[in-house]
Amino acid sequence: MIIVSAIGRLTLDWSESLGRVAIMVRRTAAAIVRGQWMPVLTVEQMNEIGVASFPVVGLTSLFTGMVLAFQSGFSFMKVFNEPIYVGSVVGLSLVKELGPVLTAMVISGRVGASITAELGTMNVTEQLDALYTLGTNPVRYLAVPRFLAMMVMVPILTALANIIGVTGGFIVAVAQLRIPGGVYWEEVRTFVDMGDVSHGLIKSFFFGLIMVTTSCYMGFNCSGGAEGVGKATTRAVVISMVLILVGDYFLSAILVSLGIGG
Amino acid sequence: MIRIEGLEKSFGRNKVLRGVDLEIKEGETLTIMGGSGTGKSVLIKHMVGLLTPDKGRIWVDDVEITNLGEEELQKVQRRFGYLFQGAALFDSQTVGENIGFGIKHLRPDLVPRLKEVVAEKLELVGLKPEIADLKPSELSGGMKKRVGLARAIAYEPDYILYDEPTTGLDPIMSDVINDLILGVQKKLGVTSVVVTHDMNSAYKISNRMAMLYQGKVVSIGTPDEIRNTTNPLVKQFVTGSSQGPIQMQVRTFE
Repeated sequence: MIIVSAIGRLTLDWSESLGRVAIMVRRTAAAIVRGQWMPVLTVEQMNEIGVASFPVVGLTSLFTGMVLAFQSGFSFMKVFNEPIYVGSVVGLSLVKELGPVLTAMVISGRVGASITAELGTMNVTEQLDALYTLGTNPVRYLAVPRFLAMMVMVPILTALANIIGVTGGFIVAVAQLRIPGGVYWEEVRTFVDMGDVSHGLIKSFFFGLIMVTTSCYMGFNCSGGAEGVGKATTRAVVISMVLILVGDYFLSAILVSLGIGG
Repeated sequence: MIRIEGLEKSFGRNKVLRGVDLEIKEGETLTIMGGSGTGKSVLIKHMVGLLTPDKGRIWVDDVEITNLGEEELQKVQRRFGYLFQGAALFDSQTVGENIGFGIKHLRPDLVPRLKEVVAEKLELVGLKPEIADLKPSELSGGMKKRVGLARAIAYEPDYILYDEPTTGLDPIMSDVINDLILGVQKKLGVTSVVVTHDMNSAYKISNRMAMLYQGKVVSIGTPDEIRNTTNPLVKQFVTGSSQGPIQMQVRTFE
């Protein structure tokens, strides 16, 4: 009986949370479609999410590209006695998978956490209520700029991460594996087409949506003072990361079935 | 005028309001008193539509706000100023930007002389205009409350709600806030609702006082009527006695 009631309560809580998420997303989408967004705040968020995240995203992707080239080069040397297909392995893995996923992970930790912490603190200190009483809807004022910034900046950062990562692979390929630069780029060009690039960028757009929805929801709905904000922040990051990894599989499957990057 | 009929509100299993009936008349200052956790803040949040009741109805003038859509509710909310318990100043903005926030969104006609209006409001609450460039984190508790009050009155609302305006302040600063509330009342002629358990403050600023106990209004009257009440609940509360019908859950140390 206790188990049944626990399952029932959990189901009700989940349904309620999903309903609240849906309401928040609907209100945000409606405000965006109606053009009710504030350009200054949106640019501020683009700067915070995109420009400020670039160094860490760049560094992560550079070394990911380098290690991919290193590992694939030495593995292929063992099997084929020469480091072949390094450009294709680095290019395809970065553009289709590692670029979007790692960029999303980095942004989730850096930006997603800060969104939840900021909105959560505003929530527990009644600043969100204060916005209502000052004639401003918190969804329009706080969520809309963050949604827009994430939807635009995450794909841009992913595209940059792809370029930097492939360049990192090039450095290792040429300097350590002694592959001629022309051969490396030829492999990248041959095996990575626009479909693969679009595949990664479309996924990164959805990863951005997952992160901003989770972070804003957790911030808007947390309670319990500083402890509550801390817990909500941790939960936002964990849920975002899990949803990104799970969503990655399903998004990949859908995109491949649609012939995008198959 | 604000009229509340049969207001009920629960949070999970905790039934906070159990049928509140209350009327706040045009231009008066009504104080809602009651112990901690009796739902005073919950009650005033309903008046401005920050919370939705489980049952009951609320009118602001002739508009019933309980079932309003988002846009209509916002029109009503614009008529309210709200001084939050912890002031709720926006951390990321300066004092001047905080005070100017409501003006920018609610009184575009005042925007051309925004700086002037901000300085005026700061002076009205007894602060120097120079603090407009400070961040809220650089202010003391009393200053935060005063800036919160300046922000609440900046766009000249019809109603002001004060949530424990003197809590956490020293007696002198509390009296300064009381004088400010009286001054704002006199100057702007607004209708005010003050939530407090500070009896000195309540006697000084109120036209009428209402006591909330176990989710209902158990007594309402002028400060003199409340001071001389025979209602044992109110008597115990205003005299601040631990002996009486209101029983608090306390842990004894042996």
